[in-house]
Amino acid sequence: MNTILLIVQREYWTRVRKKSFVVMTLLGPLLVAIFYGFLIWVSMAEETPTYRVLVLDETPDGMAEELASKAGPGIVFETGLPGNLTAFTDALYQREDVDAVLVFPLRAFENPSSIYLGYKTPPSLESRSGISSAVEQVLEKRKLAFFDIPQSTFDEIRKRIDMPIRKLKESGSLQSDDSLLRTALGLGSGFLIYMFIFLYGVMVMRGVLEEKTSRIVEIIISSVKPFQLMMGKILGIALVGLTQFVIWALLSGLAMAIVGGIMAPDALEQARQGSLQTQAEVGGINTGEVLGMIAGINWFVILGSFVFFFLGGYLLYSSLLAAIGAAVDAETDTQQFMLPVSLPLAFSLVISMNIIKNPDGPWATFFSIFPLTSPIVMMSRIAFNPPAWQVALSMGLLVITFVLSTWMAGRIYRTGILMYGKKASYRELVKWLFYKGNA
Amino acid sequence: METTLAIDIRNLTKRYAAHTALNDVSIEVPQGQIFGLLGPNGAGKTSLIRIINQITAPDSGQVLLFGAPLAPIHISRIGYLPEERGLYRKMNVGEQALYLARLKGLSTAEAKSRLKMWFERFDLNPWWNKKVEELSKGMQQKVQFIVTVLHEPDVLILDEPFSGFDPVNAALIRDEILRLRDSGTTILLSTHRMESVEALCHSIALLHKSKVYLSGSLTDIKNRFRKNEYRVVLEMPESEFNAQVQTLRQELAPTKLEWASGFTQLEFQLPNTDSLKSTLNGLLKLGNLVEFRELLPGMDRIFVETVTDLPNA
Repeated sequence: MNTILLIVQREYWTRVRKKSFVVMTLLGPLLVAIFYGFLIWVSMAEETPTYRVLVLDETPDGMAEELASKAGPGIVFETGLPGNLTAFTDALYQREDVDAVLVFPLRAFENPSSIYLGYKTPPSLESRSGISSAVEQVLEKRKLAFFDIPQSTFDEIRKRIDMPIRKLKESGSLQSDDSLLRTALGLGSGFLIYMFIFLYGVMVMRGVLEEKTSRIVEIIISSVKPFQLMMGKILGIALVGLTQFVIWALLSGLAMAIVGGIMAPDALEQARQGSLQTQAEVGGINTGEVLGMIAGINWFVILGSFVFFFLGGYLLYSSLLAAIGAAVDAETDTQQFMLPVSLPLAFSLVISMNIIKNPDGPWATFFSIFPLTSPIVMMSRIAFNPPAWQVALSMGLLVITFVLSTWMAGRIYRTGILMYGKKASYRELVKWLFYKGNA
Repeated sequence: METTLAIDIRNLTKRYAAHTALNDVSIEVPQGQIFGLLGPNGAGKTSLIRIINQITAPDSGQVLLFGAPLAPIHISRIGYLPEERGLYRKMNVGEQALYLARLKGLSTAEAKSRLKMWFERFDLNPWWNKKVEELSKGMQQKVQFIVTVLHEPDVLILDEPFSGFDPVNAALIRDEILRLRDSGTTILLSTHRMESVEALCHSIALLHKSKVYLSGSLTDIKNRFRKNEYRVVLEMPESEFNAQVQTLRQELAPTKLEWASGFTQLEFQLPNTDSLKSTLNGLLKLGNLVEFRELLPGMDRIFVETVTDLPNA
C-alpha cells in the first residue's frame, strides 16, 4: 500500500509541477473568458451589410410608398422611382450598390401573392424575413383601413400571452418549472464526465507508453507489482484531473463574472428590468423562484452521483486505456485499439443529448444502466429523478465492470509492458489474460 | 567446501503460448560469487531473471533464495539491472534516484545520504538537479547502476551491465562489481561478453534452447573442454630450425610452427596426456625452453562450440 502511495505521489507531483499543467490550468479559464468576451463583442459590434432594394410600384395608389419607413436594420428600400421592369432591371445591373428589385404589380392589394422580389445578390436569411415583414406590415395597414378596423382593436386581438408552465404537486400547490434547469444540469455534468474520462484516460495511456518506451518499467516492476504501478498511475492522474477541474471551475466562474461585469453592465441591467417588467405583466419567474428552483434540486444526490460516475467511468476507461498503452510500442499504434474504447464514449454523449427529450424512455433506461455508457447517460438522467432501483443497478454494474476491467487491464498490462518491438493483436491480448503471473 | 546457496533454482519450467522459455532448468548459485549466466539470444536468460525478480511466475519448479522460497520480502534483497533499461526522461536525476530508492523500501533520509555518497564517487553531483534527458548515455547508465545497488542488496542481478559504457567507465563499473563481491554480495551476471565472463566470473551456467547445457566453475569447465593442446617456445638458431622442421612436422603435425628472431614457436595437439612427457623431453633437446603452457579453450570458443555442436533439441 505504501508503494502505491509513493507512485500516486510521483504521478501527481510530476504532472502538477509541469509548465504545461500550470499554463493550461491558468490559461484555460482565461481562454474561456476571452471566448466569452469575444462572443459578447461580436454580437454587440456586428455590422449588417446594407441590402438595397429598388421598389417598382405599379399600384394605382402608390401602395409601396410606406415601405421605406418599415425597413428593418440593414435593409434600404428606394421607393418612388419611375420606370418599368426593363428599366429597373437595367438599373439593378448598372448600379453596384443595388441588390434586388421588389415588384408591386398593379393589383397587389387584391392579390398579395403577386408581389415578388427579384434579386441580383441573394438576400441573407435576415434580409429575407426583414423584407417579407415590411411587405406584410404595409399590406396589414392597408387591410385595416379597408375593413375599417381601428389599430387599437387589432393590437388587442394580436396580444400574445406568455403562458406560465408550472409543476402541479400532489398536494395541489404549484411549483416553478425547473425542467430546463434540470436539462442543462444533466447535459452539463454528462459532458464534464465525458471530457474528464477522455482527457485523463488518454493521459494514463501516454504515461504507460512513456514508461514502456523509456524502458524504465522493468526497473520499477522489480520493486513493485505491475498492478500497483498501473493503479498508482491511474489514481495519481485522477487527482491531477480533479485538481485541474476544481481550479478551472473556480477561475472560470471568477473570470466570467469579471468579464460580464466589464463588458455589459448596461445590458445586464436592461435584462433585469426587462424581466421585471414581463414578470409584472405575465407573472413570470422572479429571483426568489429561481432560488427556490435551485433549492428544489437535490444537490446532494446530484453531486454525490457526479463524483461516483465521474470516478467509476474514469476507472473503467482509464484501465482499458492503460492496457492499450501497455500493449503497443508507439502512440501511432494505439489507433486500432482506441476505436472500441472511444466509440461507446462518443456514443453515450450523442445518446444523452437525445434522451434529454424523453429521460425515462426505454433507450434512456437501457443506456443509463449499461456500464460502458452509464457514467455519461445516467448522469444526464439523474436530474430528472430516475427510479432509485435503476440508479442503484447502474452503479452496481459500473462497480462490477470496473473491477473486472482493471483486473483484465492489469493482466494485459503485466505482459504488455515487457513486450518490446512487438505489436500485439487482439488474439494475443486474450492470451495474455491467462498467463500465469504473481499478481 | 560447503557453501550456502544464494540462489537455488530447481527444475524451473516456463511456457508461453507458442514456445517454452525454460525447460526443467536447475542452477545453483553459491553465495558471495560472481556467477555468469550465458547463452545466445532467446535462450531463456531474461525469462529466468524475471522469475527470480518475481516479475513473472514459473509454471513449475521453484526458486530458493538463501534457502527460502521466493516471497515478496525478497524484493528488497535483490538489486536488478535489466538489459532493457531507462529512466524517466523528463524527471530530475536526483529526484528520480530518490523515488526509485524509496520504492525499494529505503527511507528518504537514508536514501539521500547514500545517494550523496554514490554521486560523489561517480562524479555525478553537478547533475543532481538536471533532467535525465540532459545526461549522456554513459551517465544515465551510471545513475541506473547506483539505483540498482543503493539498497545494498544481497543478490545483484546484472543483465549486460557494460553495454553503453566507454572503456573508462566500464572499468569503473567492473571495479565496483568486484568490490561488491568482496563485501559479500552474490552477483548474477548475464552477458554476451566472454572477456568479462573470464575476467569476473567464478562459475557459470550456459543456457541454450531453454535448457542448461553447461554449468560449474570456470576452471572445471575449461578442463572439461581441454584438448591437450600445448604451446612451446624454444630458443634456437635458424640453421637448427631448418634442420628440424621436417621431423617436427611429421611427428607433431603442429597447428603452428614458425621461426622468428631466434625463437621457434610451436603449437600442437596430443592424442592424450600420456605422451606429453616424452614429447616435451624430445623438444628440450632442440633448444632452450622459453615457454611451455597448455592451451585451454577460451570461454568464447566453449560457448560457440556448445551452442553449435548441439543437435536441434
